[in-house]
Amino acid sequence: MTVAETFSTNRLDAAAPPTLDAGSSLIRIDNVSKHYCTRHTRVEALAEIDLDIRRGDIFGIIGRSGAGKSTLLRAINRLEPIDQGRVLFDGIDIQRLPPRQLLAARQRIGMIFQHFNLLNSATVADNLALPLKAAGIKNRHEIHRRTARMLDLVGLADKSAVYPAHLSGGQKQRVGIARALMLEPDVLLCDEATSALDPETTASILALIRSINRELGVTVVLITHEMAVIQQVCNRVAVLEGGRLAESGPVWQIFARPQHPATRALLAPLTLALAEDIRERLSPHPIGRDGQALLQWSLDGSEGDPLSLAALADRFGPEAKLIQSRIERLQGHAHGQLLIAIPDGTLPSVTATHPDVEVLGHVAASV
Amino acid sequence: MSPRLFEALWDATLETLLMVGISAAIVWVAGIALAVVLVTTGKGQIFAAPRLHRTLGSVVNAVRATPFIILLVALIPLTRLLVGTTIGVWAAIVPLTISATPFFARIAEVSLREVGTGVIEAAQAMGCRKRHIVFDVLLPEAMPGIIGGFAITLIALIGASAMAGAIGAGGLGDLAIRYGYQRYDTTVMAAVIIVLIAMVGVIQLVSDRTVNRLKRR
Repeated sequence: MTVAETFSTNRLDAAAPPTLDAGSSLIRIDNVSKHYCTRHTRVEALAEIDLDIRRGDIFGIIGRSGAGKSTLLRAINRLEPIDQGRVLFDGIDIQRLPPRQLLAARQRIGMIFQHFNLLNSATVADNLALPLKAAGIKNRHEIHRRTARMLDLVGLADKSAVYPAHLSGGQKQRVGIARALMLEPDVLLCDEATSALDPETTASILALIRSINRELGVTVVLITHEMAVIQQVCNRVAVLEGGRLAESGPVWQIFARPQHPATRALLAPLTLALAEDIRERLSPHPIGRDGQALLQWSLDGSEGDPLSLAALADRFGPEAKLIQSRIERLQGHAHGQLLIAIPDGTLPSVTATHPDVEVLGHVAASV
Repeated sequence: MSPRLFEALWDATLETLLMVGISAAIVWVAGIALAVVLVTTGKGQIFAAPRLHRTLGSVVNAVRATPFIILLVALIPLTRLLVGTTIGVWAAIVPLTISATPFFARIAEVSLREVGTGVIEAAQAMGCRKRHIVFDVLLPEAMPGIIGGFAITLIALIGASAMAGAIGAGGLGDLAIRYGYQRYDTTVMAAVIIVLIAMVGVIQLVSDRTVNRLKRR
């Protein structure tokens, strides 16, 4: 059974028609502020944050530790109260709901955690049954049916009677995801969901999150401190710095034209670094007769069609050599950098016709 | 040991088991309830109520600070009110319960506090009611520690029950004092000690096994 089939049958017996009205606003963060008071100082955890998360988004919130991303995420299901502003979930003002309605609203918002937060005293199946209990579903057959289906969905059909202590980190997070989806939520909040996992497991969990988003239509809001995670799954991103919104927009645009220093710092691990041996020989001035100029050309995704090799030769001349490169495809846009060496002699004509090329320096003949 | 003494030993053993058993049953329920209230009314907890939390904490400390032998005497009016007499097994159960409950509650409290805030938050995030958080999250997660603590409490109760002999509650402690101490009958003394060692051993064994079974999950 595929992910989509699983969910659509679920939807049918829950008698709730899918509300996949793609693109409409699902979560509105409206001028949200929050501060903490420590003994001596007042810390602005969040300051005047405005965000709009649309149905079907995989929305990433990124920032360094202490940037306020966790506080912001937890404001969405009111694990964290706020001082000012509104958090609208499907038009409901979450932060001002009376207790009973808050429980009902939270049942429409799934959440997974960095440290999984499973019950160690309960089997996988009993862990999954907890949200059903919260929703007042008591029929044992119904509970069994839903648990089995959700375990199937996350690929742990054989682990139903196992205790969490016997699972690997990746398996625990899959149980966490299954548990978060038990009540067929509209949105899945991911609180650093892959930060405790190794790179390979991270990739598989991110792939699962993406398929849940695509096939079940569950909106995802995730926070992370790694741009690589944003790059792999998100379509839109917000960058937080010191409790303020540094910038937000489609991932490819933020990657192509980061406006804020915080964004550039977070992007640094993903940008092309000049190889050590070349950097050592780099000189600001042209070197001798056979010297070469080292150019960096950044693709910001606005090129449209994939770059043709002929166009590259056309741009930099027949003697151009490709030294290093890194090109990623983000939401259909080519993004990355090329390091190219050309003879010093051809430099003026290249820079004259292509002012977007950056001259890094000059090296002796052999690069 | 004469058949008469053997019979006395048997009766005393039953009296101790009765005293400790009934007290323990009450202490189990009351202690866990008290521990849950102590934990959940703390600052930032699900039933946060700082004033209640402080008051309960002080009462618990006060009872725990009072030596059992003094509590035994101090509680005589209450005992008379509750069971109509101040001597015998039933009269001993009142002070035993009242002294052991705060003791066990503090031990259980530690185990309950060790349940991570993360799990509680996960339960809150899925829309669990507070009673579900208590009964389906807090208590099951803390159970191994609570059971271990209960074994300690049971053993302390057996010790305290010997002192209850002072108010004519009978039991093994009373027998040991009357025969072993006052009549220099070391055989009875030794027999009592052996029975007590056996009781404590069985309690510890059962507790360890249960805790291991729960933890091996």
